Amino acid sequence: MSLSLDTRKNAFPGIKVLRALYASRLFRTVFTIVVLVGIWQVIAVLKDTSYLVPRPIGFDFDVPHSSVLAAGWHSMTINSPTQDPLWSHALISIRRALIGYFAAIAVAVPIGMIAAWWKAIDDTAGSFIELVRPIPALALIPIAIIWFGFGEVAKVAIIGYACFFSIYINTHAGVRNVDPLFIRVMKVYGRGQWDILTKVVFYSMLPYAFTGARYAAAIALILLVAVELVGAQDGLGFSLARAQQVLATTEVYFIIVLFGAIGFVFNWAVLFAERRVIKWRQEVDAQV
Amino acid sequence: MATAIEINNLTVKFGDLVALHDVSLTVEQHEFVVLLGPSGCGKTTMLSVLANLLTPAGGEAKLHRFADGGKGKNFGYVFQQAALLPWFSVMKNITLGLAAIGTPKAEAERIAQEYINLLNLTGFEKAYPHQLSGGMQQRVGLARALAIDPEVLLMDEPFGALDAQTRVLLQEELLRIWERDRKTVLFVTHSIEEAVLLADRVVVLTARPGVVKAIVDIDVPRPRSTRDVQAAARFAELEAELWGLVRDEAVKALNV
Ligand SMILES: Nc1ncnc2c1ncn2[C@@H]1O[C@H](COP(=O)(O)OP(=O)(O)OP(=O)(O)O)[C@@H](O)[C@H]1O
Ligand SMILES: [Mg+2]
Repeated sequence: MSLSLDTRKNAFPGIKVLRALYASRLFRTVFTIVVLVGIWQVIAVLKDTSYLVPRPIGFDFDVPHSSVLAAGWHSMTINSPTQDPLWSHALISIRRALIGYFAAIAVAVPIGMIAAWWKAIDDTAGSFIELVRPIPALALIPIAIIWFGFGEVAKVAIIGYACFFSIYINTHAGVRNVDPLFIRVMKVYGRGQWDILTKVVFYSMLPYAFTGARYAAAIALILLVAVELVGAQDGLGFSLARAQQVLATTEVYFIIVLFGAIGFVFNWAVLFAERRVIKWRQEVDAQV
Repeated sequence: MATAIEINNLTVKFGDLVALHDVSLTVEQHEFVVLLGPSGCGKTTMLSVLANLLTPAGGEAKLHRFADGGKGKNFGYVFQQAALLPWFSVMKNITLGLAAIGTPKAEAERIAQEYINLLNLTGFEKAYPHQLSGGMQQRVGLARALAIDPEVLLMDEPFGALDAQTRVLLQEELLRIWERDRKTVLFVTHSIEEAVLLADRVVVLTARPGVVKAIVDIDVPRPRSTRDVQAAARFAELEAELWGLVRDEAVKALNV
C-alpha cells in the first residue's frame, strides 16, 4: 500500500507543471485542438481513404494530396488549382466580408436606434424591416446579381444585407431596454432629447449591439461562402468549388479549416473590441 | 420668510389609481421639511411632480425661484437609488447637471472636485460607479445634486438602501453641509429617527391615497448630532408622537 502511494507521489514530479498548464486557458484550448487533430489523424491513417478523409498532418510537402497540411503549404505558396496562391484569395474574401459587415453596422445601429426611439419611424420603416426580414438572404442572391451584375457590389450588398438584421434587432431591443430611471436623471438635470440619446440610450444599447455584431460575424461568413460559390471568379469560396471540381480533397479540407480559423479570429476580434469599448460593466467570472 | 415650495390641492392619478389626493403643503425658504409616510403613499410621486417628471391630474406644485432667474434647473434631485450612469466616471456623473446650466467644462470639473472632496470621495474621480460601495454611490448622487448649487434640494430616501452605520455617517455629513447655507430641503424617509434628526418640520402622510395627516414641528435646537438624538428626552417624545401618527398608516398600507 505505502509503496503504491509513494509511486504516485514520485511518478509525476511534473504534476505541478501539469496543474499550472491546466489552469492556463490558452493551454486548454491548444490541448483540445491537438486532441481533435490527433483523433482525425488516427482515423485517416487507419482507414487510409485519402480522397474521403485525408490525413491532417504529413510532411511530404512536394505532394499536395498527401496531407491537408501539405496541400495548405502548396496552395498558399504556388500551385493552387486557380493558379493564384490561396492567400490572395483569402485576402479578397476577408475584404468582402469586412466591407459588408461594417457597412451593415454603420447602417443598422443608427436605424435601430431611431426606429426604437420614435414610434412613428418604428411603425413605418420598422414594420417594413420586419416584413422583409423573414426572406432568407440567400434567396436574394439572384436579384442582387440581376441588379449589380457579378461584380463586388452584389457580393458585398448580400453580405451586408444579411448582417443588417441581427445588428438591427439587437440594437432595437437594447434601446427598448433602457432603464427609465436614467432618462429621469437626465430630465431632472435639464438635459434634452439629444443628450438622452447620446449619453444614455446609446450607451445602454451598446452591449446589445455587440451581441448582434457577434451573430453578424458568423452570418457574414456564411453569406461570403454562398456568394462566392455561386458567382465569383476569385475568393476562398470560389477556390473551394474549384478544388472540389478537380477532386483536390486535401485542399478542400484545408480551405474549410481556413474558413473555420477566419471565423474564430473574427469572433474573437468582436469580443476583444467589446471588452475594450464596454469598460463600465462588472464582468462575472466563469467558474474555473 | 418667503415660500420656496408651494403645493396646492395636488391630485395625481396613474390610470384609476389615485396616488395623491388633494395635498397642500408649503415649505419656506431655508426650511428642512421631511415627508414621512408608509410605502406607496405617493412620496416619490410628489417629488416627481415638483421635478416636472409627472403632470398632475389636478392642483399645482410649484418651486419658486429667488436668484436672478437664470437658465436651467434651480433644484437638485437625489433619487431613491443612487441613479448614477454606469458608463460615466464619478467626475462625469457629477458634472452632468452643470453642463446643462451652461457651466464651462473646466469650471464644472473644478466645482465637481470641490464636492468630491467635501464628500470624502477624493481619489475616485475616474472610478466607474460599479467600483464604488453603495454608500459611496449615494454620496456621488448627493454631490451631483449639490454641485449645481440649487435653491431647493429634493431628496427621495437618499439613505434608505444603506446599512445603519453608513446611514448615520451620511446623515451627519448632510447636516454639516446643510448648516453651511441652509438650502431649502424636501426630504423623504421611512425612518422616524432620521426625520427627527434632520427636520424643522415633519409632514406625515396617510396611506394611499396620500393626504397630509399631520405636521409636527421639531422644536430642537441646531446644530444637532446623532448622539443628541439618542440622549435628549425631547427627541424621544417626538419620536413617540410620530410613531403614533405613522403606525396606523403603516398598518393600513400593509393591509391593502
Ligand atoms: N409609473 C407609475 N405607474 C403606475 N402606478 C404608479 C407609478 N408610479 C407610482 N405608482 C403608484 O403610485 C403609488 C405611489 O407611488 P410612490 O412611488 O409615489 O410611493 P412612495 O410613497 O414613494 O413609496 P415608497 O416609500 O415605497 O418609495 C403606488 O401605489 C404606486 O403603485
Ligand atoms: Mg418612493
